[in-house]
Amino acid sequence: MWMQSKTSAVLAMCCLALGACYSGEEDDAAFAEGEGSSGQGTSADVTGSTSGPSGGSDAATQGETGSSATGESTTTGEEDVPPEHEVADDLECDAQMAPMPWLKLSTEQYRNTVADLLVAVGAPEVVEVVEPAMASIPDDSLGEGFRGLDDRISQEHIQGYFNVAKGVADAITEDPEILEAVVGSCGTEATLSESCIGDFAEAFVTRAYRRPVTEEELASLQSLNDGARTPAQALRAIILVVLSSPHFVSHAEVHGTSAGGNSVLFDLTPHELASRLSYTFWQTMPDDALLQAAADGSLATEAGFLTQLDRVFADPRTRETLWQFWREWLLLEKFTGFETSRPGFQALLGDEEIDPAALYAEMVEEVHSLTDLFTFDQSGTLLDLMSTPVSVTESQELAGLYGVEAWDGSSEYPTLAAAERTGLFQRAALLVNSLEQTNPFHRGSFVRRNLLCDPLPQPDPNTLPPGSLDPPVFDEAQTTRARYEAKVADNPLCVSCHAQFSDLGYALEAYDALGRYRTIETVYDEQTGEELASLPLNLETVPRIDFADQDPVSSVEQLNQKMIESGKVEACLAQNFYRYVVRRALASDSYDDCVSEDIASKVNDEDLGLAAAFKEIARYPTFLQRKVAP
Amino acid sequence: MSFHHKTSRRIFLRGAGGAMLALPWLESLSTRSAAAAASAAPKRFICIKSFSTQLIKEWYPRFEGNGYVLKDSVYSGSKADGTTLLSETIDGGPYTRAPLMDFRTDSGISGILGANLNPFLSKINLVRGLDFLPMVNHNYGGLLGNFSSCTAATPCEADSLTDVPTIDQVLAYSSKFYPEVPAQRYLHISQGVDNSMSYSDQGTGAAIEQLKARTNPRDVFTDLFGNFTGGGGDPGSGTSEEDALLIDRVLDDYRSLRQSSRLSSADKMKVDQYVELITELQDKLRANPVLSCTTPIEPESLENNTGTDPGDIATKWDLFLDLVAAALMCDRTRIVTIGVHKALGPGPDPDDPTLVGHYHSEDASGGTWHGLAHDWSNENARRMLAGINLWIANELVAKLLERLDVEEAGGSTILDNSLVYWGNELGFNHIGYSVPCLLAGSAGGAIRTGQYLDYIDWEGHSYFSQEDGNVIEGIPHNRFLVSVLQAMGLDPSDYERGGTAGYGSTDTSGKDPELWPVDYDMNAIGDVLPGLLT
Repeated sequence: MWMQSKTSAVLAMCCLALGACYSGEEDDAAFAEGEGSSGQGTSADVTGSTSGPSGGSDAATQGETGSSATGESTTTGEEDVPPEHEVADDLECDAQMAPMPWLKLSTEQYRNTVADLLVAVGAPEVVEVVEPAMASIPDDSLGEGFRGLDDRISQEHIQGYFNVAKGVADAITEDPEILEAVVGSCGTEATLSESCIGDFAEAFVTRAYRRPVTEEELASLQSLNDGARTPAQALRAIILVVLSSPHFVSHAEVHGTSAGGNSVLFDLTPHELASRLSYTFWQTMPDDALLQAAADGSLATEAGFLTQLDRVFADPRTRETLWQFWREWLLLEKFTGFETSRPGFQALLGDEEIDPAALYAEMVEEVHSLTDLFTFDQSGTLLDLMSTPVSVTESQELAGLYGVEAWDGSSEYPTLAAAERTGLFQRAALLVNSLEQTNPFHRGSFVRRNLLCDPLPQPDPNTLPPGSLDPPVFDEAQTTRARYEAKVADNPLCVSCHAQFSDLGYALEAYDALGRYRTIETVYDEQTGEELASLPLNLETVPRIDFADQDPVSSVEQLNQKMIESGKVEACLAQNFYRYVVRRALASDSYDDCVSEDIASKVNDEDLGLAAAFKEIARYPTFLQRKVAP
Repeated sequence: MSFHHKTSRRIFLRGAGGAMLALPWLESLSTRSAAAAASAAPKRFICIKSFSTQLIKEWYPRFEGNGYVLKDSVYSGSKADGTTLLSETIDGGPYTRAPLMDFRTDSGISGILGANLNPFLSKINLVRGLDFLPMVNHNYGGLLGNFSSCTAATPCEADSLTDVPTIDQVLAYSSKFYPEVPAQRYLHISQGVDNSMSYSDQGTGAAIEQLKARTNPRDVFTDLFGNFTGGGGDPGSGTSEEDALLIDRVLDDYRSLRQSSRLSSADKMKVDQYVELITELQDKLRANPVLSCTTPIEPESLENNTGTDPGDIATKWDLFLDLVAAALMCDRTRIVTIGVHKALGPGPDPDDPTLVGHYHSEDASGGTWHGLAHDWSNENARRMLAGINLWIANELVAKLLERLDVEEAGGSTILDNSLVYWGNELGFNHIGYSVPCLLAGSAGGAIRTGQYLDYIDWEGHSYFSQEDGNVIEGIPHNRFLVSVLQAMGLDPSDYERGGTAGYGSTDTSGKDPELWPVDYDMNAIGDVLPGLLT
């Protein structure tokens, strides 16, 4: 029982707890200044991430001297010096560059690198041998929104790296054929020569480290051939050490030179740039062409860099990397599946001949096809993606939910009814719910946080009256919207926060839990699946895409149009893409803001298109240089 | 019925498809070597965590008779919660206790603590009244002492607190708990969610971070049995000593990198973390452990997923429990945490007895389990939620106890020498008061078992009630953490931080003292729970 004598105290506390909620024009101004969150359902990005290594000459340095820059702050007043690279974008920006931390290879990058390295050196069969060891390395988590932002290291990682290194070393050196393929015939002779090791280092270690071996490193590796080890044991030792090295398992960008004398800002070496290109767009090591471009100096020229950038971007692996971005930004991996055991859900399926287990995969594939279409196949813009009426799904089931024919793979795309579904964000994968009932609060908060990048605090159940976070009581005579509206209306503590997102969800009540368009809501008994009622929907809402906009919408088409007109979606896309690429939190009031804004301006530039906008990430100073934090 | 399982039993690993793969080593484990038997058996700590609200009336006994009455016959209002009133005081009160066996029925001691736990009642403690002092929401590490760990989707006041290692990690890096470097300091298991309840600096002095959980039984097998040499392992063409020498070269590489002026201070701390972890790997290689038991058969790889297929869920839990038992028997590790994000339970049709899968997602935003916990006004939802927890009690907790209750040294069982802790993420609703706690095992004789311990002063002020829970001041959960650490052999100097008594934050910031108990006896914050330890 809630004690009435405590009510005023609760209200006071809740007002504090909900202090970040929208309350009027002041908040409009704050949001207009771009103080929105990253849009991944988390709090605003932390400012000022750490560190960043070097730049400069790619000649094999003699190891770091450990000189200077210890303890020097990036706030010493040193101005950033633009990269000398001619490819650098002439983005005007008064802010300082944010530091770049030292990062491990993401687990995906690590696995790809091991596999590609083995193929490149002539040992593709070893990939299968070490697959279990690679699989045991922990996957990166989506906790910060993108897997690449999970930079944790654990005993499981270290053990996994060792197991892989050992597995590769053993597999190569225990099989004479593989050994000869990787090392050459000199690797199978009775004695192991210095030249043999030197050639092997050039072929294997250069690729593994993504740069030439230093003299010191080569000497160290040569010393493993100490006479006490057999040739095979010595080569095994070399492989194991190399694949356990930080220069293999991490992005050790430590060979650049100071940018214009700045003690904390470094121009990346050509080899470091090669790695940036390949890991940004392919999630793996540079191929031989990139390494060659780095070695012969062409990557340091504008023409050479653009040639490689174009080639890298055109590679199919770039499509996979960008698809991963869409997949993670749109939270497509978070759906836990349809609750097919529920009689109510079975009733929702009705006569649809659908395999629920496969349906969601088909929905996700539709998003994949759509983003690919407008990014790569048609050089489209974000506006094109948000306003397209085409249905690209080849799935009969999904097409049936949309009320169109499945695309046959070659003819013109079927067209969706504009009044029912427009653009990417009204596709089923972004609308589904596990249960047969929809949840307008979940849908609305997804739009507000993840697509518009507006901050939206989470409710603290400890500060709310009992039952506040329970779903509204079931009433077969009421639509879902009516029940949820009544629940919020009954609680003045909730109204101000819900004003930011609930109406977005009410507008999306035009879609059922399968993402089917509807004008009538069918109410089911959850226990028996019996159809209890058919209720007309009220889709008129005030979505407040811009918080000051009090104009109502009465259709999903109008809702979509307001999202397009707001400009928020491209800003949100830009912020998240940039964060995905740099694998760190973005720093407020830094060069990151300039980059995000520039990307946002380009994704709807008809002369550029989405693909070009994404590709341009490689031309910013933040790509070509690295800043180190104190 | 015997409550001590002194005879060996076979444990099987099942691969995908249900094929049974026998482990032939149990006979060799049923008795230890003469030297080993002469020494004390190691202590083990296992934590099992379930999620969201717990149903108070179903968790605690509602037994009447034999001198016991329900609280409803003594109290009115919110204190009349339908659970049994205890009368025997602990050390003169205000807390109470009772023999757990007094509440035994054929269906268990409560609606959730079901019949499969009956054989172990003499080794179990049921604890009521453990309060989280910091204000939490859905969280990862609260059970084990890091309250600054609310999920991204449910941030809380306690997030502003400084992270501390969870107590499993205090144990993991304690030389008293592990006198020698173990094969695996800990094992974290989960289904669906790949982040654990554990927070650690992994002994490196680096920032405290959340540890990952293993979600694939094969990876657990590899961690436990795939990395040792001798006695059945396959060392390849290298020896452990050779590999340990090569690790020296790798360490040199990291130390050289650390000298770079292109790394920040934070980067260098990260490098230090790598160095510490790699050094530990090197130590393990040099230790060259020989497995005291025959290598179990490797299970097939079962990938993680967020689905709710009942067969997949049940198969994986069976494999995980077998692997946990094997890990403890073979002394591959002495610390295990189990995040029960997936379980079986009743479906929405009360007339259909078929069990279905339920999933509680990491940030509590997905899966049916969390939704049921919120649907308090729905009787059917409460039925399903109780059923999920009953399944956990009968099919996870009890089955684990069964596997561990095998004799090792001197007539004691592994369970006797362990402490198994089943806790819940929260109390009732999203409240961190009276967080449910079931303990099993005596930690090598350090813990008195067979008790129901109630640390709520029922004569105290009732702040409010929600659902079927009542907020009356209990005892800080911090004292439970201290009790565990001391039961495991640690002294306060081994775990106290910054000269502060006890463990875990006692910060009650954000709590209105008129709404929440905040005034605990801080002079006793470093004391163990009354009546728990021997």
